[in-house]
Amino acid sequence: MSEQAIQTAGQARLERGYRRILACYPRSFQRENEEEILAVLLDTAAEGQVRVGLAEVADLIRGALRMRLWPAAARPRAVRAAVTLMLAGAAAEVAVVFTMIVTAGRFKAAVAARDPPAAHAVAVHLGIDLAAAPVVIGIWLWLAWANGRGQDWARTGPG
Amino acid sequence: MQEATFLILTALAAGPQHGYGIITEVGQISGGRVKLRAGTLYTALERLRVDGMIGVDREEVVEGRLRRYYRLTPAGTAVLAEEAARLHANAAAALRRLNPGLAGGVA
Repeated sequence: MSEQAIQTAGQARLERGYRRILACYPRSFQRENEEEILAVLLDTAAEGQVRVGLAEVADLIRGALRMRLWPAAARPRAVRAAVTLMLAGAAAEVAVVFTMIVTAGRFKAAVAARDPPAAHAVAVHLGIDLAAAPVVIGIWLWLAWANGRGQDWARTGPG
Repeated sequence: MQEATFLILTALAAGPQHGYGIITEVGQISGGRVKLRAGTLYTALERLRVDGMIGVDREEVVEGRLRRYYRLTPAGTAVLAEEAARLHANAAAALRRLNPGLAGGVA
């Protein structure tokens, strides 16, 4: 292969890499801006670069998340507020799980000392709560995501 | 206003620019301190466009690649002027307090 052919192949590979990440962006953005942002990415790529850098991946994914979770597109303020609250719901659930994990040992020990027969029931409950938490977090994030995309049905909550 | 947004608007204050041009200008304006990445730039551009601060000036195809030029709208110009005045006033106040001897000298 000539040097130029190698260069072209490298650039084609880099372009495919960028396109794979750009597939995470909202459809409307892809339709309107994919070719444009791709040109900028290729312009800012280092000479001879064939792979998408880690920092580039992080930056592009962050952009995609921001556009999906906090879309700029003239959404009513209430929808934006709902999305923010849903993300807060997910964050609160994460905090609950964290607290449970940190305090579970002491809590179980205290129950076992005062009311040994209840110890088993407490352990089961904690287990169920911990198992359910990822589901709750997942539902909050999914609703926020769907709302960000303009799905009206998603303005409800896992409670 | 975030610094990146402020710098993007500043880059457009002198005239329309395309994406890569904005990145270069922002680098120059900030003395090489701020290196905008494409994801950050387009997230900001999208928001600015929806908020009516910028608009598409024109499109060109260079070497088979799309280039879209953006320009400040009158609303964007006003917002940038207001923010620049605010930052300027803050900076002047800070300098006055740091150098009380130079009463109103720097600003």
